[in-house]
Amino acid sequence: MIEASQLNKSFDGRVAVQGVSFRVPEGGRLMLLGTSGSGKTTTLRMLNRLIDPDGGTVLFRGQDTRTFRPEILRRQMGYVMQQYGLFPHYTVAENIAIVPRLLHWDKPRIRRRTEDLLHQLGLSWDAHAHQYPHQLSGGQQQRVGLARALAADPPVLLMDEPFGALDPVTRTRIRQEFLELDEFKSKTVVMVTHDIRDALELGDHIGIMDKGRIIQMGTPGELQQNPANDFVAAFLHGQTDAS
Amino acid sequence: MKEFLQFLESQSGKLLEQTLTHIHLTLLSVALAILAGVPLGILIARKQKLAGITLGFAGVMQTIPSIALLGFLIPLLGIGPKPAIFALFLYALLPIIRNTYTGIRGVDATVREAAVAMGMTRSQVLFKAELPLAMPVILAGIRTAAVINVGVATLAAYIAAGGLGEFIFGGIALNNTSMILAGAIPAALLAIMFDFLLSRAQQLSMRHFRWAGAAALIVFAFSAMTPAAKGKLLAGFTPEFMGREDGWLGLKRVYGLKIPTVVINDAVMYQALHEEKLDVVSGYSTDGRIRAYHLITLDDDQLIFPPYHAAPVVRKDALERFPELGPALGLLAGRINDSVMTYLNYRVDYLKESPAAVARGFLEKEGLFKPSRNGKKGVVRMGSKIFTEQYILCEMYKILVEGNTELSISSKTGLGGTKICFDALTNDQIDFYPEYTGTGLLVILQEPLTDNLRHKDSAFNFVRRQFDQKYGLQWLQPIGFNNAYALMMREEAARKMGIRSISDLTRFLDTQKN
Repeated sequence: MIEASQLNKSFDGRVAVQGVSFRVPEGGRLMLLGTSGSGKTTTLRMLNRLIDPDGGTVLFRGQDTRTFRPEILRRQMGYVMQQYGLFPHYTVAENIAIVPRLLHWDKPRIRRRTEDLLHQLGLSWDAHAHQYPHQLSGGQQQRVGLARALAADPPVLLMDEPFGALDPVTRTRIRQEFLELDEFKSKTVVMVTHDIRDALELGDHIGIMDKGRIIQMGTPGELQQNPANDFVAAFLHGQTDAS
Repeated sequence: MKEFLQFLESQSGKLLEQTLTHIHLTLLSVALAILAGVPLGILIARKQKLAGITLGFAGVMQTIPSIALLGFLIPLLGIGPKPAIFALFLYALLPIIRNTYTGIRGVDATVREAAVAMGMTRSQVLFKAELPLAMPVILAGIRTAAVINVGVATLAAYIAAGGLGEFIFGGIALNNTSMILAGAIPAALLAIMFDFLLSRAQQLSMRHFRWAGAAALIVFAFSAMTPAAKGKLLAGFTPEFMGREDGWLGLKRVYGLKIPTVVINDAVMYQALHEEKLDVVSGYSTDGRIRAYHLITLDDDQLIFPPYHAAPVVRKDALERFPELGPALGLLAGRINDSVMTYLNYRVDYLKESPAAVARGFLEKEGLFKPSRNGKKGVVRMGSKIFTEQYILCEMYKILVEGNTELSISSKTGLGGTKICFDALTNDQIDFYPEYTGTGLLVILQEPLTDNLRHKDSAFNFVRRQFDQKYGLQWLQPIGFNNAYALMMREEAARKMGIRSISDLTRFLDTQKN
């Protein structure tokens, strides 16, 4: 579904990403795990062309992403952000409807879809659809953020620290909810996180990143059994979590 | 209060017309500033390098004094609503550009990124995220611009664009409080109303803007339907002239003059006449601009303008103490006629010669110049008002007194206006200054203008007698010229139409209509 090869990116001469390659099959879930500044978010943003790489290519369904118009490409990749990024001047329902409206869905279809998503995420149309983002708790806002990303049923979901702004209790609960969501299970997911538990629970593959490179890539089991070096081993045991 | 209500009642038609014009000027200029300023603000929010230049330019526009700006615009846009709207447009630009820029820069980067990441195009990001979120700030800028422009639009009366400034400036010139209030109160109410309506608009969400926009367009189209009718000839008069009996009122009553008029400031009036935007203006008959712009003054054959002959007014005790002073000052009597005085004013105002040099040159030509004797007999204190003509006259008197007597002159030139000069004289702060018969009559004696007093000699004899009796002041013989109100036309145009007097003008206009 998504294939990155030899991605490079520098900002003002400072190398952010260097020689990153990976492949995520349809329905696969890749976790990019690393400390802040390790280049994982830059990597993620190169997938939907929020950033254009200096070198290397990204293939989406076997086709070079540079051949797509960026808007068209992005509408097929739901995007979930750490700070939610909800439109403050839109209601919950309007926020969820953004991409369907860009795709010119008709109103009843948008309404059905919104109601369905709210229901799946434990929110209700009557109680929440007409509220504005600032009236919701952080956990509720992130659920709406996920609903918005899923609204047009894109094949791919890109997630940038989706639980990063939540307190530990909410974080665990929402992570569990996401995991149990039927919609979520069918998506091809690339997720950026610095939290080892996120990666272990949600990922089928984990790429450990440091200083712009992927140091080791494998299933959670492989990584835990055969860490490539001390950094990986330490990271997996949560000892360098905050560094 | 009663006076004010009566004024409103008698002038209600004019008040309505002025108010509509005022709304029109304000709305049209702000609408144009929105059309130009919002896109510019968006552009500089995207291209930061242009921001400094653009905001700097708009800021500089803001600092140009309005009357100067209007003056610059006359050669380009003429007089009337066009230059007024353009000037107002320039004043409204800065708050609108700056607030659009600030508003868009202030949109949360996360929201903008989310919009892009969801697959919005640049224009969708702009219209669905950036503009709606920046809208309260942009509207605050529009609000500022609208309120500023309601105030600045009063200046439209300076260049014949109408509006509530006509009452305000006319009232100030005529010292008519009811008239000032009849302009100032509606202007203040308009400012409050615009501010209120726009503050409501700030609270509306984006979807209501379509309706607000439609409503604004309707108001706008409605207010735009007040065009000014234009005849063959057009007269431009100062607000003061419009309200005076020895002005427009007298012209209508005594001459039966029928000509479309616009209200205009005297600073730009001559230029507008010169640029052929106007055909007739009111002015002062010895103004240097008459020569600079090749104008002529029309003969006041029915004598509606009171005479303003200049002559020195002197304290009697000074004349007694220095018997030689009177004859020395008298040397100038009858020496300067209107066109000579106009020429002397022209040399100072337009050729930038100093008043002293012009005074000396004139006296040399007249054979009156004598070098100063550097006398020590006594000091005579001389005053003057603050305009060119008075400066020139005072330089002449200084030369004449110091050259013909053993007296020396101490100048106290630049005494504000008539009242300051006159008070200085009666309080023994100065010994003499040049005054005008009409001013003595109407401002100092506050005498109602009877037909008898319209004649040169009777007016002079009257003020001389009254000043002697009331204040113990002596009017010496007049210098000759008459710096009175006058109607002016371009010399060439007047010649072509065969117009030399106001009666000629009246006849010409009457035959044009038939």
